Amino acid sequence: MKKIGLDIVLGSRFVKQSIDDTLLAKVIKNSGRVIVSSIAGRIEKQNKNFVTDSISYPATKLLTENISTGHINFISADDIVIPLRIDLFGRTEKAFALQLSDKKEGKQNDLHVNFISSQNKLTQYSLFGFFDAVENDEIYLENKIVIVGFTGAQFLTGIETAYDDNISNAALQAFAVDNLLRNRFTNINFIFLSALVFIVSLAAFVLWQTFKFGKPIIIYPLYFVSFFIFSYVLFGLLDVRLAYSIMLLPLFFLFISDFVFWVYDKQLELTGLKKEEEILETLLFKKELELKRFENELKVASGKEALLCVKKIKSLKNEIDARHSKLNFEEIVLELLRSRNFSQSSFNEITEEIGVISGKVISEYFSGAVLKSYVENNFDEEKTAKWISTSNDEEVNKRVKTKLKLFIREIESNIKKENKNNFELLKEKFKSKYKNLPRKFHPYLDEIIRKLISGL
Amino acid sequence: MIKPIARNNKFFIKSVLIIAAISVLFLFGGINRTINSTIEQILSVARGELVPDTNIVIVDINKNDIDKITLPPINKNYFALLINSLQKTV
Repeated sequence: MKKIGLDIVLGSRFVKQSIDDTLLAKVIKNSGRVIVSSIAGRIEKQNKNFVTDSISYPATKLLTENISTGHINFISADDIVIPLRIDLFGRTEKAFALQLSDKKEGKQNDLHVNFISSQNKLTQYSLFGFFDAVENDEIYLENKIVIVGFTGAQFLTGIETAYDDNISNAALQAFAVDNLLRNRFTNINFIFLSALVFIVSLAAFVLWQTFKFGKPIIIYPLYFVSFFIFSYVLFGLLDVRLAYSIMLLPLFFLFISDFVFWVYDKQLELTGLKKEEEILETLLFKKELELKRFENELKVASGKEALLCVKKIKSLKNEIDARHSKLNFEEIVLELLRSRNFSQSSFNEITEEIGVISGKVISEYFSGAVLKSYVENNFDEEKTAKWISTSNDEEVNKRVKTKLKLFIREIESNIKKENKNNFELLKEKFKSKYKNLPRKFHPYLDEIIRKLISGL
Repeated sequence: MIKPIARNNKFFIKSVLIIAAISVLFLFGGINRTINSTIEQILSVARGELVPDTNIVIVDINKNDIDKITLPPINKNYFALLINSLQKTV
């Protein structure tokens, strides 16, 4: 037997106050290994040390016999903390668990209890079970630390752990002794450092996902899983606690903001698409009427006229088929231009390739895409060029930038020519510009005009 | 009409949100504690239970034991007897 801890308040109403504590005092003294629990009053922290105004000792008789005691207090704040030493007017009362563990004096003032398992996993005997085991030689207690305590409902601590709803004080003390013996108490020395690292990491994350990553929402699960693995390695394997909340609450706020931005952008896109669809519907309707007219003409036409009608009907049918197919035209145009490195001839080549769409339409969609990217890249020409070309080729980016500059300078010179600062008036004046731009890109042109007005 | 949000503005909004979230944690300690203890419980469950040091033994006096001895309160001499038994086991 290494130590025996009596985790029992001997003065409590559950223990009869006998006239004489002599027998108990004698046995404890003879043993030389017994630690009896004491209770400190109000505990305060002063200059990293714990102080109290009172300590209740087990019984006067036991005190006079110089019996070792240890306090069983704990502080329930962010977690369960046991002050390893409490000062009472110059006299130091060590923690019950510290006394039992026989650990040498260190710099550590407190113990953040790490509840490593359910209390049921601790080696436990009931009082009579223990006596039976002793009688039958079933128990061997060499080098063991025995904690004797009550486990009734009145002696539960109210502490909820990951594995228990409410643990007994004896179990709490047992976990504390385990932590001290195995050096596996919760290490809180890295909380501040981890908070700084998390803040820097969040800043880098926001910068990267806002400016470098096209789809910011996708990256959240990856980031969260990385954080979880990092925390798991440090806490699960090394018992190091981190400032989890400093990472998680801001991350949650960021996720919500990105979700709102995503919904907003979709709404914006949808507004444009609805208008685009309406225009396409109107055009389709017109083309179908035209087709009917040529089909009627063909019935009465002959010779050269009939041939012209057939040619026209074929072309109209192709156009109607193309209109029916739901293509994301902006993406197609950009992809085709990228494949041709945005050369001068690429617009004509694409017109020929697509066939049913005029060069003007391709040019309009390209302008729209460039203006959109210009606004999204905060009016940065270099970034816009790279965003559009998706290339690091300087020559290609130069071509895109030249085209962008051409659009912007043209708008700028028109604003200067109008000599107006009123956006609504200018918008009215730039009707033709809006007309030559697909509807979904109009909000981007608005922004550019506003920006140019503010810069004048 | 809906206006597009520039990336710089998005970055600004997000930066403000980070500062706001950290301020909330400092102002409302309860939120901070709840998040941290919840995460630690999740990490503990993910790690699984560890085996407590087998050199630590609890002799618990439960209601049945008390009922068998006597009605509460327990006489202190029972503890003397218990300590004596513990001594003998070594």
